[in-house]
Amino acid sequence: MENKMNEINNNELKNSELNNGDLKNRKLLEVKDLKVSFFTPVGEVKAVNGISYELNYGEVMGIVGESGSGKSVQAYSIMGLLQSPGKVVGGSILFEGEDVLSFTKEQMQSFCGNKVSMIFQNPMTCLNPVYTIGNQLMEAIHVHRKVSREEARSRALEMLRMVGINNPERRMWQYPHELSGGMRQRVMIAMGLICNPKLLIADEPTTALDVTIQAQILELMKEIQKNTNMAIIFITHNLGVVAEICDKVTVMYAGKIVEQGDVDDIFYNPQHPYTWGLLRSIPKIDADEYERLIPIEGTPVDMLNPPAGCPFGPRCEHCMKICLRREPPKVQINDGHTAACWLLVRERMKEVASNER
Amino acid sequence: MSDNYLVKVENLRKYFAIKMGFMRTRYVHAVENANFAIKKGETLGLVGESGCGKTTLGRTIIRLYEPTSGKIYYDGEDITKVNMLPYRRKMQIIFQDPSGSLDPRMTVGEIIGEAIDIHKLAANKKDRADRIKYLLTQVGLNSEHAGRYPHEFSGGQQQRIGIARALAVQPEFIVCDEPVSALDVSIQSQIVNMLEDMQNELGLTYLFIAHDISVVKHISNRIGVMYLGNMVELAESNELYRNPVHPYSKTLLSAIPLPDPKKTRTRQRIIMEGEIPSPINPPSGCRFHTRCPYATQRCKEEVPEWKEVAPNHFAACHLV
Repeated sequence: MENKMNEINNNELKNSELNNGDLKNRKLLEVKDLKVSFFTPVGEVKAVNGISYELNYGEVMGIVGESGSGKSVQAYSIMGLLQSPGKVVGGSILFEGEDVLSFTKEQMQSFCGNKVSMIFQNPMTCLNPVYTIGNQLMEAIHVHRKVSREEARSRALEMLRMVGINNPERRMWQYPHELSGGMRQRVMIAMGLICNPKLLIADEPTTALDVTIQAQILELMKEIQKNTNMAIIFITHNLGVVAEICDKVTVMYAGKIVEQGDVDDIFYNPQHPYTWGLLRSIPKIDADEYERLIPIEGTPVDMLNPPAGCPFGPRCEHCMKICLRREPPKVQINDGHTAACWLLVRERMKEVASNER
Repeated sequence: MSDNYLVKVENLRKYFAIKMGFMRTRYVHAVENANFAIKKGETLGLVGESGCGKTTLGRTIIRLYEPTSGKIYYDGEDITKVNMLPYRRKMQIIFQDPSGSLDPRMTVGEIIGEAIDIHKLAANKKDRADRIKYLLTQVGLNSEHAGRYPHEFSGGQQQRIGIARALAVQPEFIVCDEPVSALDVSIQSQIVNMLEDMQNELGLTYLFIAHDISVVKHISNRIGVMYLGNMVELAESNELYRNPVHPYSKTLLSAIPLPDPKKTRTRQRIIMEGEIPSPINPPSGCRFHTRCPYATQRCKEEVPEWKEVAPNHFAACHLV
């Protein structure tokens, strides 16, 4: 049995080799010019409008943005979970060099949950209320691995122990409603990790939890990430959570990426007015003196009739004429740090002009 | 008594009865022995995990729930047993879920106008319409919005309608029950700023309930920390953040994710084991002893006393 367990852990072994190997700098996921639209009765909603990013093995990337910015939708399209009327209308998603969008149904089935898995904001939508925890965990193994019941059971127990659930033997026989919110989230993490995926997509996994439980779950995810060296895409709107767990950050607004960079770049050297706005509008807990918040004025974009030019233009305090007419280009600030804003273009042009003089 | 306190509660308790089969009733100890006062023009923040009783406490104070025992004073008068109608004009509430708290079949004008009608605040139809218009512009909406229905608005705008409704009766005291939790970050700050402006303009007093401690610290003069129905610590906001004395407050503060990657890397965090116990059968003695890293035998047996550990800094813990 020991040997067979090792077989299950094959992926894990491969992953841990990455620690010392050079794989750390190799691309795991490459999203190129992805476009997702929802064809609603009142018109086409371009929920994701041409986004591109790369993710290396073992990297943790945060995606932040408001509700409706397309951050979840783009993740769903990686997993093939888009529901009608949603459709990928352009671009490609390469996972280890293979195009996920061209997968057949069978290929998709062995891909999801095995190489990539996802955890959701609300564990109850993911756990089946009429099956026991053990049953659901073991099902996940049986789908992807040819192992006996006994082996699947011991693997399930091992996972429950790893995510810090006390008394796992008893939990195996319990139903989701018998567990608390934090416990359910742990079960879902266990289920997501049970086949040792190379990439975990976490869609607001701590938003519904209390801060104390959120801290527990974040510590747990950090530890698991360190041990198994899997890559994580962490979708959230909480910048504190991003600062805590992510290596790099992608900021989305109205279906577009407005800024991308290392976590330090984004927090200490943000370049896009939307990122400035986000960072300024959250209260600083360690401020001694009272500081008034500086909100981003206006309301989020109406995705049915998005504005021409820069989507953030109408809410931007630095808005220029060109912003309302033409889409801003992506400007490279330093290695791995880019932002799409006309202000940066203007700055560059000024620099060039002064150099020529 | 009525010197500068607007709202004061003494030994306030709220239990909810739950039927467990025939002839057997048990109680959820939602709020236990709350003792505090809110000054005129002040914002008192309440923080704690979900299920700690902060919402119940807020609702009991304005008697949306009848208290099980204890006393509530408003402006020096005991309102524990009186007819609330005249006080409803003075005490209002803003709810967490903006869409759930607005009647979907009423227009915005009707929602706001209802409060004006009940308290007979408008002299005639024109006065009523003017008041509604004024309230809408006051909360940053357009006066034409009065004819629309709640579903036509975004979450942030719906919350503004909820605030306009609360302000319609010109209250003095507003319970803000998680008013920004359901909103996007960029909208949150708009609403927080608006609540602050209203307070400065109209001299309002707030009880601000939220689980996001950064927001509570930003808006509140003093903060009360609740755990399992008990208030465990109460102090001025900065004092509570700098020098928390109760182990629960310390854990809660260290759990907040800081939007500052460098500080996060160096920070020591107290991770609390386990989860909040059931309020149906709360632990004996200090209710926090089951999860407290410093718990002693005494904590299991004796309920800690509510005492002043520093000027205007109260806590209930045997260890301080």
